[in-house]
Amino acid sequence: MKQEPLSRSAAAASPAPYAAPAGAATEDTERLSAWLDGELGASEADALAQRLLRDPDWRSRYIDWCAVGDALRSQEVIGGHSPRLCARIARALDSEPALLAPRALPGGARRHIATGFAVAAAAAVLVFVAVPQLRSGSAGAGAGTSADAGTSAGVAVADKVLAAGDPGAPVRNAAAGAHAFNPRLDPYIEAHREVTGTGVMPAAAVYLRFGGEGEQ
Amino acid sequence: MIGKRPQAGRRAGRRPLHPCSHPSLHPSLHPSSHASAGPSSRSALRPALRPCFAAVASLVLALPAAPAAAGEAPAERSDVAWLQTIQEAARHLSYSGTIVYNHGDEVHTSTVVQGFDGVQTRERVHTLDGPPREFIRQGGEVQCLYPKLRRVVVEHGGPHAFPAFADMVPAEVLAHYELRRHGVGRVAGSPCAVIDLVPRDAMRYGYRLCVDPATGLRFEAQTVNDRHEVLEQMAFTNVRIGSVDPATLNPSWPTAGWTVERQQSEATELQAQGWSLTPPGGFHRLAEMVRHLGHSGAEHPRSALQAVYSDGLATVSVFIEPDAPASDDTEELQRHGSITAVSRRVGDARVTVVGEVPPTTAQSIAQSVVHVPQHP
Repeated sequence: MKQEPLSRSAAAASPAPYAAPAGAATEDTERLSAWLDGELGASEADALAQRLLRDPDWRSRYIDWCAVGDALRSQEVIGGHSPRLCARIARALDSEPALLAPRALPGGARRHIATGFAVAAAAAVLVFVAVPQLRSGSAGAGAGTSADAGTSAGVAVADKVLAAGDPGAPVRNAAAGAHAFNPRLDPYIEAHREVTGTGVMPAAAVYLRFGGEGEQ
Repeated sequence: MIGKRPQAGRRAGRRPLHPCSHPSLHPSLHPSSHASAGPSSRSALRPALRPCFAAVASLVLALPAAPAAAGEAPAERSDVAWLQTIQEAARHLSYSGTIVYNHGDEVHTSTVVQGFDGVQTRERVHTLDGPPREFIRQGGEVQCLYPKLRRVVVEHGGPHAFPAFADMVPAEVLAHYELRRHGVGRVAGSPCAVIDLVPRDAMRYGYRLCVDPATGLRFEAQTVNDRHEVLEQMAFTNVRIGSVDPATLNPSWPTAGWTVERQQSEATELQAQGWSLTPPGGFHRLAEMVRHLGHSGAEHPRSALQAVYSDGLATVSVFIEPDAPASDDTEELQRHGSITAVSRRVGDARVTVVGEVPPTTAQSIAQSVVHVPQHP
């Protein structure tokens, strides 16, 4: 995979590298996701951490992912609040690189953390649209365009980031299929959906709000 | 307000609507420039469409974005005009996109397509995570497709059967909510007008919307409680406004041979059934009915009285099941995201209140239910 170094100004002005067709980046970004999930072996994890330290583009992209995760569930979203694993890792990378990478931190990499945060706001949405393509093969619906499926995967990535950071306040993806309410209440909730209308939330949200019960 | 710098958070400690909000974005950018994932390629996944769907698919859904609020410039729109603009988009706008929906601790991603053919609006929501599901609304009917179970549940309530944003009366909404404008935000790369609907009392939740100034489409919507915490949130990650391919409004799966369940209910009057309750201020009765609970194939089918109340935006259902067997968990209050559910016993009956209202509101409704024996 070839990654063009992403300069500070280029990142802020043109997020195009993030939105590029993702075939080439898929494998690496899946590894990054797996790393955040704690699913990589020690040697792989170490290699990846070193790459994060070494490669400004990777770090910028990683931080953008974190911004996407925050965007998906702003701090205000109840249940979605977490100590923000991404931020902690970024700080760890910045202050104690030895913990993650035995080798010395290459010059300039620390500086790029701040750069990454600075550009996150500008690039987050486009990153979000693009990141999903990176894991399109693992999309849950098994249907749809690559970008559709990819968006789902993108959520999964962000989801895992936050869930891994705070097991005490897990953010569940719908794939978890867990019940929010006592299952005894399902028939009432489902019956209520029929009369809810769209309210302020668009109809799509209303379906999703109650949508799982039909599987019972 | 559009085009001006957003005001500082009116509410103490309130964060901007979206981490990507940016005050200097120019509103002339149009969301249609952010082409979404093209759902049209989905059609390849549906080799055998049912005839009725095929007929609908033949309609040409190429209406342009609906004219919003009779040509008023966004900056000059009145509160009523803003609500009408949003309402018009809910009714008649054609668009497609991807949404992320947070509810409590859950995250859902879906593709959404809405098409207006000049007569009727059809909407298809296809989930991208969890068990495959699809919701197809046409007029007042919603088909819920569960391919793993080969089941279609047909619901006849739906957005058009009961007052909702598409059918709200702006004056009624504004009687219970104050509309406040907060300049320009950004969702899915597009600028939007940030609008709060602040409840005028504690009986209901508030809402924050990020609305496309040109069309009234809600790019983002949040339900917030009195502590300014977001209980649920819907946001587009990409959206394309304008004509949609009719084929994208069809089911993703051939449903021939699937079990079709139709939810059934019959109108009645609570009072005639010997029951009375007091809805909270501002909530008026929408319907009273006898209905089945659960699926038709449920092990223990049962029916309940259902009364529905709304303040124009929020809706509450009250279920009453006379002679329901007592159980240990009959008395309970649960809340998830914006939904509150309260159960209690009233004599031999089980009363369950479910709605997008604060717990105190649901509790007050449940507490107000009384049995009024009928005297012939």
